Amino acid sequence: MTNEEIIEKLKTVAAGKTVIDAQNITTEMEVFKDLGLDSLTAADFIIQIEDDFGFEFDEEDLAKIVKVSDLIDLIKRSTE
Amino acid sequence: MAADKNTSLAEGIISRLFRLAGWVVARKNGPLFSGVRNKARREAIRRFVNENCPDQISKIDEITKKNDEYQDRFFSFSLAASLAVFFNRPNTLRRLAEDIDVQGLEILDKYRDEGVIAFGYHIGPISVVPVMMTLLGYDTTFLLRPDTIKRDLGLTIEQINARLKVFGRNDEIGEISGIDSFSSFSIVQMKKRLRKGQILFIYPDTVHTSSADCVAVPIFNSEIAGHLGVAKLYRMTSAKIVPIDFGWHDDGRQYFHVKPPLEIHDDLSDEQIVRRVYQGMETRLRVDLAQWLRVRIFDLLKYQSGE
Repeated sequence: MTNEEIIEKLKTVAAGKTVIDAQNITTEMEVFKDLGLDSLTAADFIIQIEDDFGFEFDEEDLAKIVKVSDLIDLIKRSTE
Repeated sequence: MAADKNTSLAEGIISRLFRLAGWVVARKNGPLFSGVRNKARREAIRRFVNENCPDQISKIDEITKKNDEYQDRFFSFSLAASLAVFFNRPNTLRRLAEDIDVQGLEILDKYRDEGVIAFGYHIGPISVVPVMMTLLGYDTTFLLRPDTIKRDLGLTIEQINARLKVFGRNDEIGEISGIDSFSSFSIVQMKKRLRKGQILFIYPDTVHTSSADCVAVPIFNSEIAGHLGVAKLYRMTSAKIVPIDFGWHDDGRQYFHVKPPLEIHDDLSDEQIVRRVYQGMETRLRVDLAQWLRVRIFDLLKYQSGE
């Protein structure tokens, strides 16, 4: 998948979970600060990503996620 | 006979070392944990019982007298202390653990494949349970606050987990590791551990804290913050929420009792689930006043004072 395809799919997953309109998500945004996720919505978000993209994040990788671009890189690496 | 004497002597030394380790860690935690000595403690207990269950006040002196004997035995024994002993002398901890009566392990065995959230009220020596379960061969995960564990052990959670990994898994000892409770992804990590069949230990915090993720739960005529994450985790995993109670037999031996899973109906809201889980602890503690007073009474008093 290309980065563009991944972010479009991410916007669908994020719909209803973020404080901002999911369609306005950009790669430079910070997952918690800018999207407004708390620990509970983050759990929903991550688990739905795993279900929709068909893989599981490594626990160590989760701790490295800061920006949306980090998330995209991890998804890309895990689905290749 | 000589062998018995040597064994007895060794046990005595080990017991003293064990208590010393707990005491050293407890000293770092300030006066509440090191224990205010008898008079002040008795007065505090009397005041607390008078406010909460005045009809029981006549029993207090007898119970608190016995309570003094128990005060130093396990009260100061925190998770940090148990980890410290585990790191340095796992066999010592194993021998001491053997002297604790653990009941209800068949419940863990029955449900561990579905995921077990073991839930203990964060008072008394409950923090020791994950390490004990590991020694009994169960794979366990527990939550750690990075600030307090750093203060108590001088180690980060990563360093602690690296040390715990050294023990690895063998025929006798299970895997054990901690999750940073402050991490934004802690719930995801917990879910993953549950999927692996690990037993997740959760203790409600013992201080008044509040955030959007918490609901106020009435307990002992006061309120504490119950974290909605417990209900969320339950919904995400369908894991069984298994209470763990503890107490003392008449001879002073301690026991941990794994209770049957809570029955939680699907129509309960997250708030109702959290209240159900937390308030069950109070109900069971109130059944036996003597047991109730032997737990770390000052934790309960903290709820009253709002510290």
